[in-house]
Amino acid sequence: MKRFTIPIGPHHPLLKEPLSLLLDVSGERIVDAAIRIGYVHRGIERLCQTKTYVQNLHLFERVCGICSHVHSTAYCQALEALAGVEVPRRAAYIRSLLCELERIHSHLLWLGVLAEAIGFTTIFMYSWSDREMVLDVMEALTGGRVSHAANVIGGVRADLDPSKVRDVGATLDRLQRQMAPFEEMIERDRSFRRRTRGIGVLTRDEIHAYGVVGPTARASGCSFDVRRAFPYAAYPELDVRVIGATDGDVWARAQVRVREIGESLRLCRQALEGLPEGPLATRVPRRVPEGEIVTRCEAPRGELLYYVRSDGSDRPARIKVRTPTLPVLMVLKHLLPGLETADVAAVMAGADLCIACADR
Amino acid sequence: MIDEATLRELIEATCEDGSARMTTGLGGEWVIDITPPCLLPVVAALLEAEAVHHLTTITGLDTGEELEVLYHFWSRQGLTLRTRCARKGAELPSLVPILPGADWYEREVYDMLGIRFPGHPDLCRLGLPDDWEGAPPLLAEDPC
Amino acid sequence: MVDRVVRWARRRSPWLLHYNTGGCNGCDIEYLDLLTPRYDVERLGVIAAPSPRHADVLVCTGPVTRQSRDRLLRIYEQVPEPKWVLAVGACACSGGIFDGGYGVLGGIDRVLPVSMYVPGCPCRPEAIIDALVRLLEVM
Repeated sequence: MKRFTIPIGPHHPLLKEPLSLLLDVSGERIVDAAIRIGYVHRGIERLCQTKTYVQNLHLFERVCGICSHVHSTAYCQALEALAGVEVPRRAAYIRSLLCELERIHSHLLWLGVLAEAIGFTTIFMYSWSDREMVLDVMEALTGGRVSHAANVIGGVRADLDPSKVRDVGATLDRLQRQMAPFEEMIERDRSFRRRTRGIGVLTRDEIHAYGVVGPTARASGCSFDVRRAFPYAAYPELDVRVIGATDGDVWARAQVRVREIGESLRLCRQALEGLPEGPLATRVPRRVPEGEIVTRCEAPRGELLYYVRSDGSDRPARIKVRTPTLPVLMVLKHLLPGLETADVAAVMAGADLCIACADR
Repeated sequence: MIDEATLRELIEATCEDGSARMTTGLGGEWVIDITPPCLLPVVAALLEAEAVHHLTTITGLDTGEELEVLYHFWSRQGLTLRTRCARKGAELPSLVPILPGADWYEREVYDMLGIRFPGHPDLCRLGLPDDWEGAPPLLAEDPC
Repeated sequence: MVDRVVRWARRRSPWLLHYNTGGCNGCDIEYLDLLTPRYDVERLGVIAAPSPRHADVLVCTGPVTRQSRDRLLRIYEQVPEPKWVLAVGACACSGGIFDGGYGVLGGIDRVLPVSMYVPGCPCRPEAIIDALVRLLEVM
């Protein structure tokens, strides 16, 4: 059968972000795939060397709009460690609360994108409508729906008063009730299962070889979660349960993410109930002491690594960011061959790619 | 995974020129300084002993005097291998034949600092456009 | 006469095409929110066009990166006349926080004629709707 190449992207209805995917097909089967990124490459790692640490707080929050808070948290953590400063417990709890809210909004966003990609527009509308509740909560807590500016180096910027805590709790309870249709769809909807079961399977060996992390790895039987392995912010005091599955297909990844929403709602409630009294921030000097640090956080897509090298001035010598989408992009080249073209949508959307994170 | 004492023995046994130095960095990170010839044997030994869970990324940086390349792994805690090379014309053995996940990280170091990785299946740019003509952006003398 | 009908129809139902030329996604997800139940621009006759050839308005988010420049031009060329360009978000307006970096050429107006600048970082959905409504007055 004749082979030809289907170019997908950088502008394509399937793709939410610019990415070039070249699929070599023979009939309906994918024979080879090539992925090219770089359309969103802004040169952030070089740009940050020209700005002060305080200015960079706003820069790193904008590596990605979906997981902005966890980038800002990882950045602040690195500097606080270099400065030898401990963040007050109340600030740590607020950081973790926002991290979990961000995880919920990111997973709901992903669920809508996957549903839309396989033609289930109703679920896209439902999940994004429910996601608005989470954005309302984040706006009530920080003033921003998507970009929060919640962190300062040394702690957090804004406090939670008791009335806000009550309102947030009530909204989270409403959101919990809204989760039932999604769980139902994943467990029981025949069309959804047929489009996602047995598709795009990743084995544990492939996970380790490519360093795949996050819900994608946990759906293949890997139990690595930075909140348990390297607890940061308030996670040492919160009871984090690692959600996993073993099938390793798109369906398993959907199961893991939807259950993680439930788990994040539970963690939000824990954080709200256990919120300690105290100050919001510790003072950190403008010039960060010389040194280097590696810090990790669990972003919605997996392990986020920040490496910071300081030279004693008020500007960073080097900041390296590793986002969890990179290994998934690497492994896609091996995941796509063998699939039918109709399954590409489910695999690409189910992979929860964040190209802004990958390109930086 | 592996404990500190066994890790030390493994590194010393694998690094035949005795150049390896293991320290504990800020945040408890295990930091192992090795020379470029020891890189591939050490990583192969770590993988063989199942001492590391995965490679997270490869950082390249320019100190002004030399280039440092750091391989950040996750073991039962953070483990970083550091090696050093010259600022111009540097080459480091590619890890891709033994660790496929090193692929794009090596491409990024090549893109940003100009270090080549012989043995890499397809060393091409990652973020920069193909027609980029300037110096590698993260080399210290390149003005932004 | 036909022209008046066409113009009337276009103003009742502008079709949007979105392209992210290098943004962080913040504005993108606020733009996508327009299509979802809370903001629901479809009740205003606005839908997301499947192809540049069906679009009236090109909605751009993000600064123009080096790699995106030619793609952006090609997409603009494929949108048939009459066409308008909305630069959504601080980065699309001026390069935003990334301006000055080697990877970024600047805002959308470095490459295309922009009809309307919509500031914000990220831009709120209400601001995008406001911009669309104002654009309808000049369409």
